[in-house]
Amino acid sequence: MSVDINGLIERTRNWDKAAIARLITLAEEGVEIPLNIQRRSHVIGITGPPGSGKSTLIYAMARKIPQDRRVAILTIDPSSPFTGGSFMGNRIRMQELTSKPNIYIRSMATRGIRGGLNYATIAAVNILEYAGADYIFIETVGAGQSDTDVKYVADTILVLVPPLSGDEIQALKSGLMEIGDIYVVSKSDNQASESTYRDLLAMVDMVREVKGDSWKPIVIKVSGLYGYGVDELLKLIDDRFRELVNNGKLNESLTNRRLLEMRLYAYDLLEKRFAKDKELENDVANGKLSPQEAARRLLGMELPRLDHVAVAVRDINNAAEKFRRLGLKVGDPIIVEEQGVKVVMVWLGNTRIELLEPLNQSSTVAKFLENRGEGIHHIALEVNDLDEFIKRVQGAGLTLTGKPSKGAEGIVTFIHPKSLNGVLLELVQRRISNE
Amino acid sequence: MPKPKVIIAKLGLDGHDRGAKVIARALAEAGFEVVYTGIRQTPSQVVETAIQEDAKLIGISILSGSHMELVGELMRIMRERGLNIPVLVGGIIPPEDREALLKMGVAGVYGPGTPLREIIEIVKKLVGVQQ
Repeated sequence: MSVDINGLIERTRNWDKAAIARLITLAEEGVEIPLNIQRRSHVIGITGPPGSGKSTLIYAMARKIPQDRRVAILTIDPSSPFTGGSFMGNRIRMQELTSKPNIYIRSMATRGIRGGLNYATIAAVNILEYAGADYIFIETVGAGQSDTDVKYVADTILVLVPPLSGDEIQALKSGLMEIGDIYVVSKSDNQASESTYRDLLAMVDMVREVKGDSWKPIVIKVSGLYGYGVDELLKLIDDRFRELVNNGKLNESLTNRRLLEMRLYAYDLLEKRFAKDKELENDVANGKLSPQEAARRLLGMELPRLDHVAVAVRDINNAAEKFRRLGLKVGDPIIVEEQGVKVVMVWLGNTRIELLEPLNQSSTVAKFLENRGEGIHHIALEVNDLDEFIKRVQGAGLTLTGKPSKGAEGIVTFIHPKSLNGVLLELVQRRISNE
Repeated sequence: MPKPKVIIAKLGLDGHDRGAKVIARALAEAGFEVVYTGIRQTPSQVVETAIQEDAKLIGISILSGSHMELVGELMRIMRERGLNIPVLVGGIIPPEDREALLKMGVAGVYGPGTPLREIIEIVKKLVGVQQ
């Protein structure tokens, strides 16, 4: 089934909720949604332990935002690590907002290993910002102190701390308690909130000096249920947004979002590959592969691997142009004096083609062209441990062209083509082979 | 790996939510992403929820006796909004109303005593999940 992604993207501009919903589903399925984002939304991360009142606070804020502002709420619930399913109940506290034209609410399951944000969350933020949301609230799972990825996508972070949730030592701990822009003592409709409020105030004063941020973290008491403090909180949020627009931080933060998106997409791809590769799983289970070897294989980093194929050419610019026309990523020519060649790299996944043109008649590549004409000059393998591999070469009765020498990327040596069916095989050990 | 999302909703003035919660939890354990709306939903709220969530199925629980009116309204709004996904109804439904609900376009009606396994299989079939 082919989907008209561009058509859907176009429709989101009119705050078409069905189109937004469909695009988010596609992102959840791992589809790349191509969007050119101009910052305009205030992305607000709401975090805090389970049951601290996150959904209720979002409801209390969103209902007070004027009808002419577009509000999006992404509420994240954990997926079961056992079945992959998820019981998502955050909407219950917000259902009254469901029919409001200016509000879009989406429940998202964490899916996957990390338990915090996933790629789809970031894609959803992009889609909603593109669709013209003025506010995007992200309600995190509330996994506690590790739930901090949200700071790379949110402009403002609200950390909810319910009363009776520990003494001042808890307030001083790292992680969640470092990321807040606004600390909200939630459920502040009882006496116990006062001491939580005081502990947080003391903590914030200590943290501020270290962070060197112009924004001073604020502590506020709110009751989402009864609406106390909600107007004040919304005003703080809007003040902060103005400050972020004025000091340019809003646009800067897009870089962080893109980097996080890259990381999370990589995790997503990895998860999918892992789920698919039953053979790998079996090999680890029955001890054929070490967990480390299996992990490297999963990432395409297993050694030995094909490092590059070198092709001797007479006119490197002409050759490079042909590969460029094939739509491949072709680098600029590099002069390597020691080898007497000009080199152009053609990048392919985790390997490459190297085009070689001799700089002068004494170069080995010049001799190669003279004797054999244009064509494949050598094949290079990256190996883990060159000394160990050389022993294997000797054991197999093959000859090397010379001693290993230092090249630009590590130590290299060659197996003589006369001993290997006419193939000149380069062996490379990179400087950091276990990276 | 597409994970179909389903909505479980309590329609109308009816606070008896135990059955709906059990169904929602069972579907979650069967690998679905289940959005539970809670009680006292209007038909239009349920349709809006399904659109915003891009859901593949709606499960309605009604024990109040007003299923004919509320489900009729739900189906009407779904048509109006162009939402074409299966609707299952559970709860206390007299046998004579069952046929009428199916005629309205409801995909299935399941009363008390239906084994959870059966419901999971039906939902899987309706949203096209391969075993």
